[in-house]
Amino acid sequence: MKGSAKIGVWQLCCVLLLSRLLSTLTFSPVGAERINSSDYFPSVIFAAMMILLFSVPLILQKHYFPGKDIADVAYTVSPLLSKATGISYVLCFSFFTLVAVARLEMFVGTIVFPDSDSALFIILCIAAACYAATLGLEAIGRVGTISLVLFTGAFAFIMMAMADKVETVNLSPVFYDGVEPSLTAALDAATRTVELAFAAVLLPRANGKAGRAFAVCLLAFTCFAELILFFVFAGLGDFAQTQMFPVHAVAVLSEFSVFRRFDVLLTGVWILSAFIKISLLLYLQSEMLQKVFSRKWNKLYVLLAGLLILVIQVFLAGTVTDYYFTAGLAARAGLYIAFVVLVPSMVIAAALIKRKRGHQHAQSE
Amino acid sequence: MWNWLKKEENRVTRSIPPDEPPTRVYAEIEKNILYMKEKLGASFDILYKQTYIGKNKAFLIMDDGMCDNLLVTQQVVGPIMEMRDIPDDPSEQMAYIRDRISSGIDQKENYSLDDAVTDVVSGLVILFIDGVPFCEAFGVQGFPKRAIDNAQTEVQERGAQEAFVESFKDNVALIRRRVRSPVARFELQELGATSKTRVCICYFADRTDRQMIDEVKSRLKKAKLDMVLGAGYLRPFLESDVTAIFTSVGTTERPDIACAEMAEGRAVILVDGTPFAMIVPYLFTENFQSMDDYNHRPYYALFIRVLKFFSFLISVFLPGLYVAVCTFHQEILPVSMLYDTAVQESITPLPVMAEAIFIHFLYEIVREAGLRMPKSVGHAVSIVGALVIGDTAVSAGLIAAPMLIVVAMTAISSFVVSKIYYPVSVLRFAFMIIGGLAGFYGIVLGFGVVLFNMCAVTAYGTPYVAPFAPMHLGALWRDSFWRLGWKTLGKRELQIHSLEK
Repeated sequence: MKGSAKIGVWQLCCVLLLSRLLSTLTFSPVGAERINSSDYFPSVIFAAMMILLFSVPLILQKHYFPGKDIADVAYTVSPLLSKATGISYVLCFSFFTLVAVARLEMFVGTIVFPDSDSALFIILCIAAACYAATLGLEAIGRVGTISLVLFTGAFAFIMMAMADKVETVNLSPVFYDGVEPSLTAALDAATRTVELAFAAVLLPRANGKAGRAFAVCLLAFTCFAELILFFVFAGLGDFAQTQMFPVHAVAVLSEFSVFRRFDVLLTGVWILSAFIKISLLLYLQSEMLQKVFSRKWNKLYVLLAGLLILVIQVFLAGTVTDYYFTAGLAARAGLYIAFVVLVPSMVIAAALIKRKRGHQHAQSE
Repeated sequence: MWNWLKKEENRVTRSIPPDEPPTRVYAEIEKNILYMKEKLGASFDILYKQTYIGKNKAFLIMDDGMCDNLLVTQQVVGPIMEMRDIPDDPSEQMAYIRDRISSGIDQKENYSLDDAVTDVVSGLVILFIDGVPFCEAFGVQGFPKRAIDNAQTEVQERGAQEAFVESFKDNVALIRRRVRSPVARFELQELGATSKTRVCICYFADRTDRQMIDEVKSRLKKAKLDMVLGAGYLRPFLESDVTAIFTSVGTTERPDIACAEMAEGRAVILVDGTPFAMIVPYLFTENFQSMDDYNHRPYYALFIRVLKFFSFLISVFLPGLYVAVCTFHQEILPVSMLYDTAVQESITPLPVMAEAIFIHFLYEIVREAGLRMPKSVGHAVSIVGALVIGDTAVSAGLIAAPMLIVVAMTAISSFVVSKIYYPVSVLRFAFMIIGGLAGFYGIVLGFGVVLFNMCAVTAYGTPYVAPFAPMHLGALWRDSFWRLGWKTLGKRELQIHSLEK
């Protein structure tokens, strides 16, 4: 009865979708390339296509090495490569955790508690995330499923309350400055889809039809992003471009009956989603560290990863994460493509070559 | 520090001696008598009768308070004393008594003297005959017990009213009376080195996962306890995760609920001396269900279940949210309400968080006093509590009136979901503290932690938060918050182990 710690592929999709939707919710035009509001709509479609393109290594991994995560694939080439891949993924996840925590701190510091020191909240959040990460993938998957339902419900409510404020005249003409701005925004959105790296580690831990789940996930993301951008720009117009968190601004404006503000609802699902994402990232770091070092100390790895993030965020904030937020699209895209596309592609290619050589060697003998 | 604590614990406790190998019944009756007397001591309620059956020396032992004296006379002593043409050989004599003389059905041969001792204190009459290397036990139990009464904690509007009692066999009979089918199985275990408490695992053989039953049995066997005086002693051994906030072992005092749970493929555990049955696995959603839901129409069941769920949310989060709103997020309140609340809170001496903790603590004291005091005094406690908290504290300016409304709403709501009252009352305090320290942000984080804690539990292969996560649409549609009508529901039974991951 005590099965291996596997989860359903739909549960995995829920977690990954929640993580990606959080990035959409925290979308900030202030830090992004400035484009006309309506150009964001086609950009989501382009972004979905780019995500599909970036997921080719993942599809190859699933096709040629079913049941193996990226470190296991690297192990078929050499144990050293497996360790190197593991370390690179740990660094990558560590950085993503830092970004998620920094985003949360920015949100908490500017919106929820503008007058208080946010260090306490970050300590609380990381402590809670460490606890959650030690509970394992099954717990994360289940919480992700429930939270996605809560997320969708809360967001639907906000949209409904915002409906009377939507004015299509607020929207600019599509492709007014050509296709290029849309493509730029699409690249920006696609390079925020770090969940492909998560899937490279977690896919072997999921039962079920991954292809169908991935398609549904991508479709859901596209629909949600289109919807959210529509409400943001049709509701706020160009005012949205000046907002640090335009989705929050929409929630502040929405009202329904006696309820005058829905930002609390949004804040709730936002913090919950961020908490789950940070927990997942800590768990992923622990998983990869187990591949690199001993399997025994999984809880210690979570704790160490959490401590590292805490120390950096509380004491060194401004030198690491600010760089990411202020860095140009080219730098971010480069970082993303290197870690999420190139590293797995090279590992898979090397493993395939070695496998082919092995087959040839066996046939010649 | 840890070693010192261990040493201190060892100083005031002693380890339970390991089980000794059983002593076999001797052929010589004197040795048996000596052993039994040594083991049973000089207790006044143990009766010994030495006699002769034919030419052989015989010996009867019984516990006066545990046996029905009329049955002893009619079924054991009377027939033995009056029998004629008995064989002379001791073994044949014992077989003759067992097969031809005693009129009771409940009788067995014991080859172990330790078993014989246990049987004596369980209310059986033991017969030794000189030259026979075993003894015969006759079931003539008849001890004082409480009659079957109405359910006290799971009151039902419609349907059966009777509840389990302390007598273990009566409880089995209450279940058996409702399920007159051979698929209902009742397997017995004896737990507790000294108490030798009987524990019965009840299940339906045709739908319960055999692996789950084996797991239950193995967990119970691991319960190395000296005394088992209630079901609560065994609960930690049956729970899948002792760090879980909510228990995955349910309890019920209603035989109809026990039967319904067995019908879904669960195991029900009865402990002798406890008027409650334990249910495994038990899911979170079941805390919002009651037998009445199935006696009412589905739409009303939905209404009641949603009502219970919101009551649960209110009882856990309302005080914490109130503290968070008053301390950090005043902008959420409508202007008129903000003004009233601010005026009320400004005249109280304590900060909102301290005030909330103080008043809820006071409420818990009053509740506990009302629960433990004799009923006649309990009312007085309620009146004093209501007067002190409700009137005097507000008029004296110790607490604000809105806080009183929050306490009242929380208290009433918590009784709607009485099955989870204890974890809820503790969580409430935790959320008050976290709401006062970190506002809404902290409450959401706390909610996340609780959610993770619940989702991490897998009880006997079934996730505690099923059918919500992992989502089983069939089970959700069938009977979760919404339940189907009996015309559809009655066609198929839910199988709990099918909700496994």
